[in-house]
Amino acid sequence: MRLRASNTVACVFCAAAMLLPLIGQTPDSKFEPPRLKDGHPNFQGLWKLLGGWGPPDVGANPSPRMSKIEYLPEALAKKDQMLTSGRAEDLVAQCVTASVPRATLEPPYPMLIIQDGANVVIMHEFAHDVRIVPVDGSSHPKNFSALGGDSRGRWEGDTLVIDTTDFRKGIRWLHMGGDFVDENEHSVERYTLIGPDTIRYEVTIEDPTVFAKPWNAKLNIRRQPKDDQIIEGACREGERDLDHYVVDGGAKAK
Amino acid sequence: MKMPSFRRTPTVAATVMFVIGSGAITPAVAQNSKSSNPYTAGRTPDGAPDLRGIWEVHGTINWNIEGHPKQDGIAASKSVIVDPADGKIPYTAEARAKKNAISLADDPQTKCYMAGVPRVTYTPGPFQIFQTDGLVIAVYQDLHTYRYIPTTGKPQMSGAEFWMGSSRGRWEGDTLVVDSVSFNDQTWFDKAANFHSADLHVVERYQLTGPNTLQYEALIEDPKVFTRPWKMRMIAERHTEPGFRILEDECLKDSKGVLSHILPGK
Repeated sequence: MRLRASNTVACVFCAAAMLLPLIGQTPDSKFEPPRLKDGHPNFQGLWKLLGGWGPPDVGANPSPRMSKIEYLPEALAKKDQMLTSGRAEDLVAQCVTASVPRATLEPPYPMLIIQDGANVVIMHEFAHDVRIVPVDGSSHPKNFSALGGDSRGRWEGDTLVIDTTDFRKGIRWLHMGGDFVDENEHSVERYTLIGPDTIRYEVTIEDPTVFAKPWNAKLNIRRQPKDDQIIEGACREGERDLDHYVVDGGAKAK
Repeated sequence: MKMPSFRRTPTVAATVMFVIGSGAITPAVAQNSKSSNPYTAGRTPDGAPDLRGIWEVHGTINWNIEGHPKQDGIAASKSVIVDPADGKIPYTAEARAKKNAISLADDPQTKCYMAGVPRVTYTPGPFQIFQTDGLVIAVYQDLHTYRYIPTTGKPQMSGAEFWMGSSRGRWEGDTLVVDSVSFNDQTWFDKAANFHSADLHVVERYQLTGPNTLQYEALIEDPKVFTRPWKMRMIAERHTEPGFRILEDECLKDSKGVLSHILPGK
């Protein structure tokens, strides 16, 4: 069977070059989604973001895809420091996790969605990140923190809304351009099927210790060919890119 | 990829599936060593035997599948190898010598690499089985490794090597049979350096023996390393604690560069 190519760590870092124009439908489109036996829209299958979102200082900012990111002054200084000497701290460079929402926002890696009634499970190819999102009416736990936060889903009509908070203390890069969030991130993602092969993905991100105000991105996610499958995203195994970061002091990514 | 000559061909497998489906006879291949299993699994909304849930193989199998005494604070464990009867891995003489020369410090799990199959099953920590129409997904807490196991007859991925292999499932009665190929030669069976080559072929059988017990068998074939196929068997127990979940397990370096598993904090 045909294998998709270019599943290398290096290609995560090509994302900035992959900005593609967004041509698209909006959630206003009248589309009757396929449904599961429980009546909810069927999001199951292999999906991948259309194009990339890329660092906003490379693409248009603000753009139709995202609103402007406004940093608090001290956070902006932090971003500059990170770009100068902190690149090796990027958890994606370390093959740990892309976390939320980077795992969804950054191609070229696809994701597999399954629904079992109680959970929506999102399996990312990059670093085999997995999100098991309860859609059972449960709320965020108390006294919990994780690099991927805690995600809880709910249905608003035919839109799947995933609320994620409770992140582990520390910086998480949103892409190679140095935009970042910390443990106070709160993201609300909205997934809506607007066609048989298209999910409209909208995410609002707030972080009161990093951003002056919440910002959002609106992108389309495309269904992948039927015969494709999610494949193993080995990253830490045989990882070499990080060596380059260390060699040149982190000033520039090669 | 060169296929071992004794590997069952897809054609034969398909024939066997058809015969089972017709209910005409019970072929030998479907017979388990516990063939008189009295437990009938429930059914998923899609009508498949329902293996969904969070499971865990308890114990210290991961230290040495051939069994080991209590040492260094690790509880003793019996061999989980049921065939051959002596509980020993039937290495070729050459492979045995190679195994004895491997440094235990090179265990790929200490580098937080994916555990491979079948090791991921008895690596400490729970795993969750999800089922949707024509698809089984296993998510392991260990490094959030997951396996994609279609039960639709989709061809195996070949021509590439994977840490977790390429897996395809089928149902034999209430038993999920998972056939896996296309492995690399980098994973071990345990911390005792029991190893395999890239010709590894694993056939796993998942069968409920009660509402909260899942019998797991793995038939191991690798003619480059073993003189004959061999089989391990163990029980995974269902987690029934209210609210029990698979938790995030990430490997992070401390200030000295030492990797360790980090679970969610407060």
